[in-house]
Amino acid sequence: MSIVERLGRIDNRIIYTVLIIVLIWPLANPLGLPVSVGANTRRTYEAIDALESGNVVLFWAGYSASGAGDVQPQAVAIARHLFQQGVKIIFLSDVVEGPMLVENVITNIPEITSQTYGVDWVNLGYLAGGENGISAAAKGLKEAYPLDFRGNPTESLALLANIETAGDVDMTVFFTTQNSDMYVRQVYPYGKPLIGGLINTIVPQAEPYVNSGQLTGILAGLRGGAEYELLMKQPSLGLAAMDAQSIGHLLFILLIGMANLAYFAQRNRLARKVGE
Amino acid sequence: MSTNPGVWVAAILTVFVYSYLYKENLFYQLTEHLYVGVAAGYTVVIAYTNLQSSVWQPLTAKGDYLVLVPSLLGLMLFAPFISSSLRWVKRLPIAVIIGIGTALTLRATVIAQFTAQLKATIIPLTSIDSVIIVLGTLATLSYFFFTFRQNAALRVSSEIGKWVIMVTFGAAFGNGIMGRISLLIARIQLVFQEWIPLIK
Amino acid sequence: MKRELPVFLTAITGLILLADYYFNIPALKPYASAMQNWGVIIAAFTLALAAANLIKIHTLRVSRGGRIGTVLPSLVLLTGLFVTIFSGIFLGRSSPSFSFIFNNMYTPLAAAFYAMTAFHLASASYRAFRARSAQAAVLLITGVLLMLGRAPIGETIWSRFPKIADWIMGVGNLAGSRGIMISIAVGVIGVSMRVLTGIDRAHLGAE
Repeated sequence: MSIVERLGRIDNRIIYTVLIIVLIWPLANPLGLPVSVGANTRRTYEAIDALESGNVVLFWAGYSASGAGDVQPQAVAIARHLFQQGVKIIFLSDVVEGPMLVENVITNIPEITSQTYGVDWVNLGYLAGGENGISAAAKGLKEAYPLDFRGNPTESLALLANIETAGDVDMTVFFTTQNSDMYVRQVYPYGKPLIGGLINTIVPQAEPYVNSGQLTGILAGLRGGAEYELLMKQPSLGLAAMDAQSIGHLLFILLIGMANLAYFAQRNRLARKVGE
Repeated sequence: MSTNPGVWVAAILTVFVYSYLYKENLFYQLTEHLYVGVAAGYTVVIAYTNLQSSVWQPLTAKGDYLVLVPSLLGLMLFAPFISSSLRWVKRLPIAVIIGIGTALTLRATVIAQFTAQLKATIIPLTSIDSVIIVLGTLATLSYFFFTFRQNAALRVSSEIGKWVIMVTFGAAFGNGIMGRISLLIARIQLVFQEWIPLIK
Repeated sequence: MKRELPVFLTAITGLILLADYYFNIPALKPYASAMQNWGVIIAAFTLALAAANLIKIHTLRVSRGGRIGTVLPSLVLLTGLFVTIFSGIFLGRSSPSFSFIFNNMYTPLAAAFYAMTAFHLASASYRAFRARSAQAAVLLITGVLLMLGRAPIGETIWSRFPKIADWIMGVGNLAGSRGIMISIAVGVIGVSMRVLTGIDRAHLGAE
């Protein structure tokens, strides 16, 4: 067996150790690689930047705790942008972790100190039923949520006074680790701009919606969050991880390259043997 | 090192989880069971919150007794716990949920994922990209004709569709890897930044 | 009756929602809205079903006794479950104990388990993703180009990588994803009609 063929026989535990080291190193010693902003992120930023003070946005925290590492930086960046614009936010969720993630993370941003609960923002909480929950909430917010997550009757909340359906708000933003189809199916028909913050794995499936205009814009994974932070000039978790993301990608490309080199070397050796 | 007990708990549990990568062990098993228990408990708390809002509030504040009907249907889900002969009772609330979910998906899919996407494919063929998009979409659609014998033209189109699908799967593969790396970076930041400050 | 009644319920609930959407009958609207809210309430009960099953299985395991390696994990599971329920329902969702459990146990563990797939993907990329055919090679090359285009280091190596990645996503992937999406939509329409008319009864379980 040649050295090249041996490249395809490295123990898994060595690969795992190398992966960890390769991700720690750029976090400890930042490379400062420049990050450019893609068209999708720019379109998303411009759509939110065009909102005016007093506008109301539905903010669907539909991402699970397991995928928060990829999606939460986007959610935090957009929440900060919305509050800085003076936009009022209605937080709601179609996953069980959503309301607690809103209470413990998203609303721990600096901008929250100047906002009044019930007037500038509310957390309606989780509505069971998946797509049915999304549909019920979009169709009749106060009917679907008689109480908010903090136990207040929604009829008593000033922010919801004139909001009945998803068509009464100025925009809907959703963050998901599942799929964007549910939101496009159930919320887009109300005719207001729809923006999606997606975990990387489901971004390819959302491209048709972006192209057809059903989604005004999308943010793609951690890179999308980093680009948004760059546009906001407020670097945070997203940008901090970009160097490690780069080196991680290179490692995976190297692994694939090594494996295929070994495979072709072995195939050639066997073909020569058969020829003999 | 961090002085926050919460960070210690989170980091140590994370290390226990990743000890599985070396070899399955008792610490990993205990952590796995702890996660399942906590997750199930959390879900019960949220279910309680939902029922307070959707059932108790309308019942007590507005006297809406109709909410007792779906509540009864929901309780039917637990019928098998009472007796195995009542297993069939569980089908009733499931039937209602399936009926609702199916109808909602069906009525919205026709527009959102069928007509809207077909409409978006009908674009002027003014550039190479638009030609690729239109022909690529048609070729991909032709790949999924399995129920009748394909003629020569359809076979060629189907073969092109396979190549287009490979590009789509390659995009999914690349994005999948990117997503997983991001998630691992977040865990590394917890252990090596918040807990043991190796990373500034 | 045991199978006919559920089939009838599926059909009637589906019919009400479809008729409300396509025919815009004012008299039907309150029933359609009520149906959706009923669905939310029933779904809330399903959340507790998993916990009920876990309690049943693991209580049985603990009561049967046996090796410590079998009993201890079940005890840990039940302890975690009941402590979380107690702190969330009786102490409140904003209580320090519930927040501690959510922030320092639930969230990190959920993230850790999902992130572990990065290691599995690394070993899979290394062991299984071989370009055995031209089409597999296209898949791999597309993935590699995308990773180079989306990482800042790719831009540093060659400024055209991001444009290539954008083209792959916005043209190549778009054509395939759209074709797949339309095909799935046709499939969904077919399967939905079969479920609503009772031809497909898989959701009702075995006899």
